[in-house]
Amino acid sequence: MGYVAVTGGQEAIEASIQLLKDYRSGGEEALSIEVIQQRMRLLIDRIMSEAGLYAPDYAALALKQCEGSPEEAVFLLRAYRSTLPRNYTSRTVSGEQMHIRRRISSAFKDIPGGQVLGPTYDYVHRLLDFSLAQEDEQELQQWKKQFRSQAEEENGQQELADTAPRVLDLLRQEGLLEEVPEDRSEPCDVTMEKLPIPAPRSAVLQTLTRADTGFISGLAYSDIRGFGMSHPTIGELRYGTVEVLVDHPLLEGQPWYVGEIEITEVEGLMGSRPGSNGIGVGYGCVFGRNDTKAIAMAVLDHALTLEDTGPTSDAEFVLLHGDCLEMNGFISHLKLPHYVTFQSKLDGLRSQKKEQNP
Amino acid sequence: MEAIERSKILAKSPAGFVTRLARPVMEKYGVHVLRQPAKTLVMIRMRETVAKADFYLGEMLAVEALVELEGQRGFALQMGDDTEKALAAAVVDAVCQTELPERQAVEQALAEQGRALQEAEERARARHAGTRVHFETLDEFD
Repeated sequence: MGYVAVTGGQEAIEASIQLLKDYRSGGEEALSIEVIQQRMRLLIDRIMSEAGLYAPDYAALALKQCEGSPEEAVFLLRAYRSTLPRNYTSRTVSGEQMHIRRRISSAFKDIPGGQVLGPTYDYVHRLLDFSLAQEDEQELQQWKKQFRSQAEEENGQQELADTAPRVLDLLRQEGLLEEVPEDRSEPCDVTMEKLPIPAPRSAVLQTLTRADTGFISGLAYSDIRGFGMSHPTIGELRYGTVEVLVDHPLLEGQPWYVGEIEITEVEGLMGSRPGSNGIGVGYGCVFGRNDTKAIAMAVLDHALTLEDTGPTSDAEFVLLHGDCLEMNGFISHLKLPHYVTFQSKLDGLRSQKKEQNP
Repeated sequence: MEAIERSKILAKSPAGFVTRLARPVMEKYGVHVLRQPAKTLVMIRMRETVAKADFYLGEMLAVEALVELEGQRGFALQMGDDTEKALAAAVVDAVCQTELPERQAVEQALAEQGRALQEAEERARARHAGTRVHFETLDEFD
């Protein structure tokens, strides 16, 4: 059987794209970018993190364009990002300089600066609130105004530190954490070069922070459940904003403020590895407010340093299969015509049957 | 006012505030645009805590612009995609380096705006203060 070139489908594709617009325009209420950006914050955070691009407005636009599909939104942002020049790299940002909005530790009750829950779904009842179906916007805004004024008045005198020292620094000072040699190498950039295996630490962390939230959460879950060696305790989880500064291009040595981004950062206490006299630490840091992804990243960061036969210690397995764009792109390609290869499989099977039953 | 403080106030302020400061200067003096406002990416370099290694957290969308006013260059690089605001911010940055009579009023407005932004941040912090946990250790039971 030879290859047969086929054509056709152009009109059907065009009609399908028109139909998509029809599907996207369901109902009669306009969906503004501002509403998506302001009220779907956690989804925006996830999209920005997986796209590796901090641009809340564009993440909202992407979600509007693709009916809220995270994989399509990430694809759109990645594609757009590839059209822009990158003229600057920031000065090194440290989570220690974070303006804290949430900070918890499951290892210590009393931490310097105190535990601050911030905005969290950890303690809400998971019961559908049917009143939201009829929510009155005016009443909501009135509630917000009242809440803010009351909270600001009541808590204005309370001392809530803007920044706080790291919880794990206490253990570091006591020498209770595993000693890891400092890595001052120039970071690898996986958006500019192919991911090297074995991967330097910078490439591991960049790959994990860009990874699909579901993928790394599932892997971390498998690791803790028994397919890996981790027994994590959250030393510290902090969420807030960090300032992004660059070198002033005109005034040598002076910093220039570009903006602030929200991040979630985790230091996980992962237990001691055989032969070590300190507790191993895993590090996670992601764009936005996303406790689960940051914790999962910390679990995998540590698991990848272990000499274990489990899947989460296999760098190639963990690092090459979690990119949202790549994984969905590959799976998506299965929908493309495979007429020739599949016919070839059938031909082979038919010949085999004929040989077996002449 | 240091460049870092100016850049912070200009970036955090609404576009209307920045353009209101820049417009009279742009109308009165010849502002030479050296680099048209354009989008750029800023790669964010982050330091982790285990090996103190630097890694790239991701990129940020920003707009940059460069102008010249009375022989002084003004720069802007701000998060987001507002090109009009970036151009105005570069003009304001330039004004603050000239000896033009407008400079004092512009710097005063920036200082006032800086105080207002600071107060807003303190109010936001106060809204979170109520979520601080006050633990109580219970007596031991026999």
